[in-house]
Amino acid sequence: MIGRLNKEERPRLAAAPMPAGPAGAPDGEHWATSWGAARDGARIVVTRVQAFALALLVALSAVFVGTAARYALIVCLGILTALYFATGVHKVWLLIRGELAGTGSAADSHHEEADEFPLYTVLVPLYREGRILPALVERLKRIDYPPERLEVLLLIEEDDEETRSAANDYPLPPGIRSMLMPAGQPRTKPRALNIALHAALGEYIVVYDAEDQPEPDQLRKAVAALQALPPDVACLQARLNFYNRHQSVLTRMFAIDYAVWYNQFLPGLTAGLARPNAFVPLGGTSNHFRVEPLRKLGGWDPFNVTEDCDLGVRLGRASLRVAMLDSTTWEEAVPRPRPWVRQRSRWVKGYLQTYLVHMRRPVQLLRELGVRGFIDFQMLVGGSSLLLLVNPLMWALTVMYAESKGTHLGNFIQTLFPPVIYYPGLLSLIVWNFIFFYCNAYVCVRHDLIDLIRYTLLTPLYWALMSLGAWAGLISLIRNPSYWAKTEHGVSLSDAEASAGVPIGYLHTEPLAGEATT
Amino acid sequence: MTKARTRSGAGDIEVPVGLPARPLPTPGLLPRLSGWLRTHVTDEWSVALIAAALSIAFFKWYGAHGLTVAFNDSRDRELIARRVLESRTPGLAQFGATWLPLPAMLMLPLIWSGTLFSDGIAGSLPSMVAYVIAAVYMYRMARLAASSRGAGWVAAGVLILNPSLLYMQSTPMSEALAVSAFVVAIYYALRVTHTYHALDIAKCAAAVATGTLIRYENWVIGIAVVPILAYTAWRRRGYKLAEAWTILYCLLAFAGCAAWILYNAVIFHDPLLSFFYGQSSHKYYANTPDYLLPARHHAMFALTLYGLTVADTVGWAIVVMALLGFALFVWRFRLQGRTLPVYLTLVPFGFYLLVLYKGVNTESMPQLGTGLYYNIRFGILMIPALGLFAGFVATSGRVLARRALAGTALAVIIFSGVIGLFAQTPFVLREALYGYAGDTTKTGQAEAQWFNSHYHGGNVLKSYVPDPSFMFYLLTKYHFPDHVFVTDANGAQFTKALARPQNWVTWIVVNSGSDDQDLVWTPLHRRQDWRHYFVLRKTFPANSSYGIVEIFEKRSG
Repeated sequence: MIGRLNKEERPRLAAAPMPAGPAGAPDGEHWATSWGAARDGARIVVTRVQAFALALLVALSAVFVGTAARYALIVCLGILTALYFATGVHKVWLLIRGELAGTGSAADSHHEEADEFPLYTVLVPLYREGRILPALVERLKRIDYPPERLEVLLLIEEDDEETRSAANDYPLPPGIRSMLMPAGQPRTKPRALNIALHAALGEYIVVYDAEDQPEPDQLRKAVAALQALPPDVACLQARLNFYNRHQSVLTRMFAIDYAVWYNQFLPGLTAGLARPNAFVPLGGTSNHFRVEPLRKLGGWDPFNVTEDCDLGVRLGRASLRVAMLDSTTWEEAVPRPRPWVRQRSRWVKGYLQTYLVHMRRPVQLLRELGVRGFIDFQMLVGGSSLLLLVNPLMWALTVMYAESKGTHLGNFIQTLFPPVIYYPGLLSLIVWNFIFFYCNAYVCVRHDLIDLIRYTLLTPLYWALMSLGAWAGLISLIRNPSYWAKTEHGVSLSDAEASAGVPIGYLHTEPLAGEATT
Repeated sequence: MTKARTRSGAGDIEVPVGLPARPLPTPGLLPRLSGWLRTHVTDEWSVALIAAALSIAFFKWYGAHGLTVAFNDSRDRELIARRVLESRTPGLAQFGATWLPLPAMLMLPLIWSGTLFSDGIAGSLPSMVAYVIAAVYMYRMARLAASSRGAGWVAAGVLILNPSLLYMQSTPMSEALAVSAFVVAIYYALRVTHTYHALDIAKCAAAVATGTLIRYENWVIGIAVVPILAYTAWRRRGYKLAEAWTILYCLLAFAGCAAWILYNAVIFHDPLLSFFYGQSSHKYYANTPDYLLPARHHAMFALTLYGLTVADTVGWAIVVMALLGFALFVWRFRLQGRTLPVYLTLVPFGFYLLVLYKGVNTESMPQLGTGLYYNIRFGILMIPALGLFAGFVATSGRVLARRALAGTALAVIIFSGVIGLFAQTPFVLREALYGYAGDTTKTGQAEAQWFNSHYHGGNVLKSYVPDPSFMFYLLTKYHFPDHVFVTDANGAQFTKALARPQNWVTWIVVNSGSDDQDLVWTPLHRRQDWRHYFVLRKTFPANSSYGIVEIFEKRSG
């Protein structure tokens, strides 16, 4: 979708006022998709200026290829090699920072019990989750927080009969209530969160997914940390991992992937406590916010399918900080390749949306995020997504070269890699890839996932699957930008477990040691 | 009396005010300096500073005596690094040789400079840095193993003041690098048994991986670490952890080996090139007559040969101390998990004994009647073991006794080092000066001098094997451009030049009679076609092993 932003939409959204409306009866259709983050967000995929720039780039490339194909390819490969090299350096740097920072968080030192317990709102957006609703409620009941200070909102779409009837049939304890989301488009999780943000009574707010199982004391830890940390720390991100990690080879690989992200990369980005203007891509759940800054910031972008990443950028742009919370939320990993690719496609699509949204005014972004935040953004959001798309092409080129060495084709490919491209490319291919591969094994031992370590040997296959997801995401972005490829939850549960309200995960989960030294 | 609060490091204390305070005497410069040093300069820094000072001093010393590149191999190693950047066919393929690539890779940042290449700094600097690192980690290793600073100082002293290592660290050879990687690897293996931390396993593996790209001996050491780590993990938490540690370690530790095999497969289409070809390969020694392999199938002789090598490398006094320390160590610790990796320092001893006994490689020492010095550098990898066990001597008795023992041990080490350095030729240097390849320095210089005075342009066809000294001196002393040499490292160009030398080169330089090792002479001496175009201009008499050197020039017209 190409469009132009209205003049009144252009100013930064940090000061966007919350629209007035009767508490508890939000008019979602009216403003949930046109307020705050939504106004300057992914509603428009590319602006006219961006579309023009992209078209110009394509046209110039076509002319270049048409007039000097070989040089055009060399330039293209040179740019890609530089990007591979730079993202490799950046990731290695983050890994080192993450290791130096350890898995502890800035919140670690504030774990003493809070003096008082403020009202805490838990948001759980649901869509077609009727089957696992009993298990969800049982897990929410395990949260260790004074019940009179806890407000749990189950956000149910108006036309979602399955979840509505399940919520009506299952006796909800006091403090947990369902909240109907009025019909409207786009029917996305961030839209529901925006509506609920308007109605939430809590001073702090946290988002959990339907299948989430936070550690029982997570809210207490978050309160203690948020009370102790400076007010510009607007968000705490808990670690995520999977309770069903032994379900399939894919869930094992996914668990390793998450462990690397939440135990190495994110601590590397925040290094305990992020700087002002730092960019921290939030995870989709277990983000604990102070409500007021979140409202001022304009909530979530309902058109962005990775609203968490987008919110991370906007927090940084508004000079609000993010810290890691030393607590884990257990989720359900997608166990089969097809839905896994769907989920990954949504993530890459969302990253591309986020990139396009924030690169509408790159100079302003640079000014607001600072050089380091800007580099983090380019490498993690733009660079990583692009390289996931390019990887299969480069692998194919490598195989083609190996197979055609000595032939005309092989010689031609060889001429595309002059030394200035060849050696950084070789370094990226061998050294960086090995470091990332080895990092998976390292994390398994470092964070007590030793039963998974042998699966790290399958990492290249996992990378191939990631690229498949990236391509699916790109195609989806072009065809249906705001389509939310929903992940089916509760697939690791038997019907009996789901309906009996057995708190899932507690059956399967071994604690993930934060600072385990085996 | 009024009182005021003042803050001290220990908290708030009350001191009386109102009385004139007597000013404290200002400490003198020396006490202040001593205090500052105690606060800021740790033992590790002290070891590093001493090692760095000795490293620079001895580099200058040996450089002043023209001994930096006394070993034929040191010249060859510099040439390998140089041709990666500067030759007719520069590139990664130039690493391909019998030797592992890391020493040459470490020379790359400086070898491009003609000056640094000529005076040996480009090649020696990695060795010097490695020597300092080895000294620091030697100290750390002994301190950790024996829980004693004294042991650390004794162990570091044995390594720092070893005359052979002091010479080798001044040269572009690989021994100092190999020792450094070895010591670091064992230190982290030892740390793992104390901390059980994944990062220490990764560091140990990284050090081993570095070592496996320096010398093949380190491959064996890398393998020997596996059972120690697996056993430590198994005792802690059983099979699962043992498997995890083994995978974590092996993935990185043997990545260098895998990369080298892959490199050989891609570049030379032969994954195990270095094992099967060349002068140091298994095949070469398998076909070597028994008189050149005196220790083959003679266990006692192998023990005597290698034992004597180690003793002469380290010094007899230190050997005695180390044997005492070893007995003390075994008596005190036996097979305790926390000190098990200490036994890894003995792996080189077993390895070299086996190598000599099986006849996979050879060594010779004139005092045993086996001929001129050859491969006596094998003793250097035993320095860590002897240093470490000598350090255990300083761990017996009460505090005063321990200090006295450490002091005595250090005095012995210093005395032994001074004697080894100044009263006699350092042991390994004898190989370079009086060994089999000792005279290549002189002949190489003579050939280069003659060639320089008669050279009037044109390319030179020359084989790197068996002796590249001629090329080395032309490049470093007479500043010949690198591209005038057409060599066996130039692939297709070399093949074409061999087929029709008259079209490619003006000069042909060969080591004739060198057991078919010379890759130019071996094909050319069976052919007559090229002789019509070239005339023999100069012959140099045979040196010890590389045959007569003959220089041919293309006929004019």
